[in-house]
Parts: sequence; structure tokens; C-alpha cells
Amino acid sequence: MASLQLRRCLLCFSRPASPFSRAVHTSPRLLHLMDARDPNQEKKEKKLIVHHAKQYFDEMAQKARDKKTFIAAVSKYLDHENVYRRGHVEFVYASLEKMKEFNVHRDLETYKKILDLFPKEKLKPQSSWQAELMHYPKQQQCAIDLLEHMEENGVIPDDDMGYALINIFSQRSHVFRRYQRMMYWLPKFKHQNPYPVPRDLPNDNVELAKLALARMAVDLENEISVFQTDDLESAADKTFIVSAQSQTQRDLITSLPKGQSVTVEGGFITYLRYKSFIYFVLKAEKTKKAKDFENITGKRKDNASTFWNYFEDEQPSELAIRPSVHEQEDGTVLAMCITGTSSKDSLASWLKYLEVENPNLSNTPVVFLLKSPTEGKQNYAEEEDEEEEEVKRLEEARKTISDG
Amino acid sequence: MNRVPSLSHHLVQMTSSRHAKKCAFLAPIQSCVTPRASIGIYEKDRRSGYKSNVKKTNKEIMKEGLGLMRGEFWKLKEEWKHNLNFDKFYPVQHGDYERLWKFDNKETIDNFTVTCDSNHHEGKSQAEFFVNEQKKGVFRGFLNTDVAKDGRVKRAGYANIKSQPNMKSFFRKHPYDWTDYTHLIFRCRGDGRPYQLILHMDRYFDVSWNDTYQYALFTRGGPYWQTAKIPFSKFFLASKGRIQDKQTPIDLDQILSLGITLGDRVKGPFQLEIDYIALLFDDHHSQQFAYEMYECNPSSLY
Repeated sequence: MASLQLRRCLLCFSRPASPFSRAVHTSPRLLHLMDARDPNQEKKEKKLIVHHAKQYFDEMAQKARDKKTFIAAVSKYLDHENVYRRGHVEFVYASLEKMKEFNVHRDLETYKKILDLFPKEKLKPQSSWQAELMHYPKQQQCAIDLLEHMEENGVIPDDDMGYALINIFSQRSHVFRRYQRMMYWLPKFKHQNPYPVPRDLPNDNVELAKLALARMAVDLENEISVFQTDDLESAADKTFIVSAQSQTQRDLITSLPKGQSVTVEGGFITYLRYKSFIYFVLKAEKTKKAKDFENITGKRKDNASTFWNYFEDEQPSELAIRPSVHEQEDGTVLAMCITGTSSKDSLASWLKYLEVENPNLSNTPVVFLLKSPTEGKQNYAEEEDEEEEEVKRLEEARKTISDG
Repeated sequence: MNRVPSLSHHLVQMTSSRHAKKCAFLAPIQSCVTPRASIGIYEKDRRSGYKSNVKKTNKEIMKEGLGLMRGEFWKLKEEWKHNLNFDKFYPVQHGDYERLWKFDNKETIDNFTVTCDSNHHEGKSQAEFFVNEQKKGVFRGFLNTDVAKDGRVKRAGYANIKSQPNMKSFFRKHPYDWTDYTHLIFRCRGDGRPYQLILHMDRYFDVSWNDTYQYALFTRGGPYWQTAKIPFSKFFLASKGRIQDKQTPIDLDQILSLGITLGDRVKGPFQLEIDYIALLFDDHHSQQFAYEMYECNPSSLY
């Protein structure tokens, strides 16, 4: 052992600080010496997780793609590379790319686990110059991209993450500045939506449909009921129907003039965060009450909209009863629904369920005005294909040029 | 991204423009800046390198320009008529409102430009803006978040409508003056997605060319119309899509145009019906700016 300690490197005449030191020469001039010591060096290099990080996640996820496997994969890398953290930047980028597949892209704990891959203390700047000139730029940019990934997915960091960032990059780093910005702005915008949606949406389709309908319904007296078409004999589609109707809407159906038809319109699209739903509306023509009201207020509106006439007395010459919220400009909304299949058959079953509480509906003719929710937007898909073909053509052309 | 203090930038611009012709060694500085990806101080043009694909010859430009003359002279005449009228000024009172645009005719819709990422080959989103049978403006399309594999674009998916800048005769920019009002009013019917309202500012120095004030227009979704009343005090300063550290309340006499953007990173069709956009004066609204203006660490560099 003593002789080992005394042995100096032939080229640079340096001596390792301690015989147990893990430091090795990595200068390209000396690499051949390492090769001479270990003939399998190249093979070992290739075995490193870094070189196949994306496949590494796929291999780890042979059983299931969930949070547990993802955390296990990251921990395994950490155990393997505990000392040198070889290629941790590349590994962080690879794991960010794979997060959505494992459905952990909205999970703060997983982001913290990934941040744990950065070595502590090592990347801190030693002077204000280093701090301003972005010490360890690749690592800092990687951490900034991690924070941006969080922001894109609506994840707000917490204090622990801030302390972790201080431990890794220090308080003066560019990463920490980004964290500070996020901590200032994101909680401000978190509750700005006047039509709030829960952060984590339920997995059950019925619960989701309930949420979507409750959000769309303006009437505070709105009631949501769930039906299963298994009970109906006439229903061909065995699915669920979630229906929204208020007492006012029931009264509107009762007061429908005899012989007037109602329409089922849809499907329209509504969103709850990243989930979209197709909904249908039971509609009737505009009521007389709404028309009268519009005639009176419409006149007034024209007066008020022109700027110079606001001194005019705005007292109306006539009186009219204010219509309910359901009496919109383009018709009266009588009920809304979301069904499991969005088929015409399921809508027919919905009407049957509605007849129980709205007996007048059984005497009313119903017209189905159904269209695809993406009507007028289908051509986009075709255009997309054309674009893809064009890209392929371009690529081929490029290849032939480079080959020739 | 930090905003560069405008004074120091001003100096940079002065030196480069004044001496560029004389000093040959200064010239290459301009050319080495890539127009789109630069984060530096210098801005080459107002559109950051996004140019229109339509190329015209000088003859065509002349022809087009002469054709526009008649209309512009008419506009000038109207302006002077208005000036010489000496309209009385009445103070705006609580509850007064002014309709900016009502989207019931094609002319108003044509005043708006529709853009999306596919226009610049940076994505695959599609969008259109038109009047429907009920005489409402419909902004709809398909938001596609697929990133083109060109190695340059990092993320994609936006669709936008933007009003033309307000112009006096002979295409002189004439920013809107909304200082009398406190709120923006939108009567709209959306699909539950959050849209972004963007007020483009008319500012002189190139660091501030991309200054916009932004706030979200949240939609309810469903068959009911909604009226969104958004105070100007909630609009925050952003530049090139990034919120800025040093915030200032919006200058309501510098507004060049208004835009509505969708870019919520959700792939799928979208639809926003708009009835009108109006301005409202609410006397009870005393808030100047919704965000803190104190400096928490005045000695820090950023």
C-alpha cells in the first residue's frame, strides 16, 4: 500500500492525495492509462444509465407505469450513482420527458425526488461574480427547465423545495430567482378562476360529468340527477346519463304552449382543465316574455351605447317582467345532460327519464338537431395529414440531397 | 428573464445608430444577433423576425399606396371636421360605458387578425374568426400542442385574435386612450377554457416594444352567456410572453391593440363566442394596481 501511495503518474508527475481517494485522471491524454488498467472500461461506460435513460424508464416500468415505479427508478439511479452522479443532468431531462407517461407530471413529491438528483453544496457559487455569471450553467438551466415543467403542469413548489434549491445552488443562483418568481405569482393566480375546477379531477366518469354540469349550470337551484339506462328496457345503449335541471326549467316546460316543439341540440364541448366533455341541451324557442323584455331593454341599450346621449333620461316608458336566466337570446334552455356514449339512443332514454318529472314533455314533439362537436373543425385533421405528408416529402428531398 | 434597465439600453442604441455608418467595426454587431432567439438587449425589428410571407414588388406597393390615398384624404377631412367642431368635454360618470366592438358585422371582424402557430411553421394549430347566424363573433379552431420536430421549437399550441392598431389618417398610429374607464367588459360564451387577454402597448424604446399587459378571461362553458367585468388594475406587465419582475400599473393612454389568446396547453377543439367588448367606468373601484409595488430587496442586482 505504501508503494502505491508513492507511485506518481508518469505524465503529470502528480500523486493521489490518499491511497483511498477515488479521484482519477480524466484528461484525454491520460485516458489510455485507464484503459490499460481496465480493458472493459468502454463496456462499463456503455452500461451507465445515462446513455439509455429513456429506455431505462421503459425497462423499469414493465409491470406498471405509476408513481411507485417512477420513484423506484429514480431512487435506483441515485443508489447507483451516489458518489459521482454521472450524467444527472441528462437523467433529469429524460425523467421530465417520461413523467406524463407515468402520470406523475402533476405530483409535487416526484419533482422533489428528481431535484434530489443534483449534488448538494457542490454547485454553489463562491463569489458574487460567479453567482451573476450563472455558475454551472448546464445544471442551473436544467433545474430552471424542471421548474418550468412544474409551472406548465400547474404544480406550485413549496418551502421545502426552496430549501433544497438553496442547498444545491444557493440563494443567489438563477434557479432560486425563478423559484422566487413562481412563489410570488403562482399562488396569486391559483384562485383567480371565478368558475373553479378542483385541482385533481376524479377518475369516475359519472363524477366528472356531475362536476362539468354543475359548473355550466347558472341557476343556483339546479339539481343534478344520475340515471343508469340498465333500468330502461327500451334502451339499446347501456350507459349512464347525468342530467341537470332546476325547478324554474321544469316550470318553463309546464308552461310550454301546446303544439310547440322542443329540440335536443348538441353535442357541444366543454372543458374541465385537461378533460373535455360532450354535452347536449334541451331547448325551446324564445318565450314571449323574453321577447317583450328584449324589445324594451333593447331600445334602452341603443341609447346608452352611444357616448353622447347618456344625459337622456333612461326611464322606460313600458314595464316588462324580467325573464329567468334560462331564457337566452337564442332560445330557452330547458335541461342539460352528459351521457356515457353521447349517442342518439342515450338521448332518447334521457328524455324518457325527464318525462317522469316533466309530464308535459310527453305531449311535446321533440326534434333532434345533432351534429358532431367538431363540426367545421374536421377539415383541420385532414390538413394536418397533408402537412405531415409535406414534412415527409421535405425530409425525403433533404435525404436525397445529402446522399447525392 | 430580467428586464434590462431602459436607460443603459438607450445608450447602447444611441451609440450603435449614430456610429454605425462611420465605424465599420460596429456594423457586424447588428448582423450577428439572431432575430428570434435573442435574449439580449438589441432588437432588430418590431416583429422580432416574424415577417409576413407576402412579397410585393415596388410597382405593386406604389399601386396599392396610390389606391389608398383617396380613403386616407377622406379620413383626414373627417378628422379636421371633428377638430374644428370643438366638441364639449363631459366627465365620465359612474356606470358609463362605451362599446369598443360589437361583433355583429363582417367589418368589425375583419378589423381583427387571426394568428396561430401554424402561420409561422411553429406548430399545427388552426383557428378562424367569423360572424355566425345569431350575429355573434365566433373564434374557434383546433389547438394542437404537438411540437414540430425541427429542433428549434420547444413547445407549441396557441391561437390568437388581435385588433388592428388604431390609426389616424395616413396610417399614423393613434393609441387608444382609456384613462376614463376602470373596467373591460366582455359578453361572451366560451367552452370552459381560460383565454388570455393581451393589451399591446405603444412604447418607444426597443426594450419595451414587446411590452403587453395581460390578464385571463375565464369562461364558464355551457349554453349560458356570461359577462366578464375585468378591472384594468389586474393586468400585469409581460414581455415576449414572460411576466416581468418590475411591474408598473398599466398606462391606459398607450394601448395600441387588444388581443385574445388561447394557449392553455390542452390539445383539442375550442370555441369562444363574443357578443361585444366594452369599457366601463365604475366609481367604486379604487384599486390602482393589484400587485405589490414595494421592493423587497432594493440592494439586489435584479
